[in-house]
Amino acid sequence: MSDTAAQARFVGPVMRAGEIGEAVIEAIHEDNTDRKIEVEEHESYFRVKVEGECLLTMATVSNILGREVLVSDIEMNMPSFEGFIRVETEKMLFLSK
Amino acid sequence: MALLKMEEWYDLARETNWTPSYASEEELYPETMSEDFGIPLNVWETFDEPYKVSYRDYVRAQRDKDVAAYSVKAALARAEFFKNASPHWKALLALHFSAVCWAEFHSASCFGRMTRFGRAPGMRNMATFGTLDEIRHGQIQIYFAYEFLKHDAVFDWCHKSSKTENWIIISLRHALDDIAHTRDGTTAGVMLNMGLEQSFTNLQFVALSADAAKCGDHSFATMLQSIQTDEARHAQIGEPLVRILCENGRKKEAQQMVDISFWRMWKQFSALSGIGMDYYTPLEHRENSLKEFMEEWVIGQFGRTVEAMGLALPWYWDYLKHDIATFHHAQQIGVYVYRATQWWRPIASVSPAEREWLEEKYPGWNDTFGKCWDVVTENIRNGHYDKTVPAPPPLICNMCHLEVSGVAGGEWQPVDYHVDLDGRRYHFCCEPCKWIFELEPARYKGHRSIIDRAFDGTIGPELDDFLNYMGQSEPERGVCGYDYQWIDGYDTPVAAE
Repeated sequence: MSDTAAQARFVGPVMRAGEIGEAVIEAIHEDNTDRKIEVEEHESYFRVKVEGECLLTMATVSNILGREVLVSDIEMNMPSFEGFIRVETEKMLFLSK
Repeated sequence: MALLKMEEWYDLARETNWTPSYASEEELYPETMSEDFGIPLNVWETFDEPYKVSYRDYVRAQRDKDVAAYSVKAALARAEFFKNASPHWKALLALHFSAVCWAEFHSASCFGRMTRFGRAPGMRNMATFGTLDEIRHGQIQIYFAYEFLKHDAVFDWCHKSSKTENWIIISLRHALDDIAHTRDGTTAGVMLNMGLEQSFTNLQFVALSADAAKCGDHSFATMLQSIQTDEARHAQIGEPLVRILCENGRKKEAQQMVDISFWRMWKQFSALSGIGMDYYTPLEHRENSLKEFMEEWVIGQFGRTVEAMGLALPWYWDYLKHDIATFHHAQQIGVYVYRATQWWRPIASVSPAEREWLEEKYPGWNDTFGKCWDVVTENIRNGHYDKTVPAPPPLICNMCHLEVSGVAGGEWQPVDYHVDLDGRRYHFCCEPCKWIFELEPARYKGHRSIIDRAFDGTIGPELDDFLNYMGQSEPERGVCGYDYQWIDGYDTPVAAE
């Protein structure tokens, strides 16, 4: 196993900069309170990195934005992600293995 | 009436396999189109989509994605961004659209194969959306590029290029034919998703969008990211396929599929993204170098994914780390000095300030690749334009079909990787390209490189013969994008070697 694999893996979405993206950062902090979280900013996108596993619920994002947000709204603004994704109606989960 | 949640009906709705009575399983899924690797159908049926989406939600999301991307384009069209863009960015747009439009459109047929011949209902479901995605990617990029045609006939090549025998197009077509268009549905599912869509499309469609945004080309940046939101979803076909193969004694085969396809795509993106990011993006708008983006998206993100799936990093991983700092620099020299063989107007991008950036990002660049540019620069300063174009054609790799190259200057250690087979010698640019050939010589040996075609008489001996063969009429032959004015930044001559 390589050095990179031996370290704890950070997983989570890569989001386009914008309203949904900002709300996703906030929601991930609320949905993953017991995990280490890092946000890496680039010119047109940012990475949200959560140690081990990342949960993103539509209820939290909707609450932050004050309107209903669906998984498809997240997809529109998520050009990539790290980890293995699992998608349900009300949440997205990013797994490290 | 409340709608059921997707997960409450999804599994039942997508179970479309049945026990055939009028045709055998072999007839339904012929091996050439649907390799089963000796794994029974009921095991393939355990394929569970990581990224589930209903057709209703898919249509809604795609409609909204198109509205967003086309709205940005419409809003910015009046700003006449293209007319005012630098020759750097125009070269990048021409290269991107000419190489990518048709490649994406062709991918629809690969996903169509997975849709028909995928052994699992879940795989077929994901591939159906993937097919629609790739049609969209072909259409949206042709449409965006069409806008530029009134300013620059180069964009005619967005449609035309795939049907030509231009050497760069031969290279890309050979690679995509290998991993996507001449493989059965299962193998293509692993190769296309893992070797291309989970690794390198991130480089061209997300990382490059950062450069585009810095450049003020928000239309292009939005389009790139919009496309990649589809790729991020349908590329997840690869994960369950690899897991099923590994859990059923076919890890070696899965590993080989990833190792082959990843290398084949790396060579393509090294030239496409590498030249685009490190040379064609205007200096003041570069977010990162190719090497830095590769470390983030591929060495990092993709490497961790491969290992977390239970596979090993490809055996050539250490060599890759060397290649990400060298190969595209050599290809950039070739693209510029053989510029007539390109349909766009290549940019040298080696002004003193640009060289300083290259040296900072790639320590040692001035003493290696910079030595070649010293000669080009000095010849232009002395008005010897003819000396900036080599007389002999380059040696072309019989696998990636790009130029066989090395690190110039003090680190010049040329190695002729070759295979002698059936009375002829095949040349390769590196050990991994040779390795792929040797895995299956019968698969590759019949393909002739552009140079092979010159030697066997398919192409006549003159430069005009070459250019005409490649479909390039006189106005379609590349010239220096800055008409050599980039050397104005050099105040004092440097010694040519």
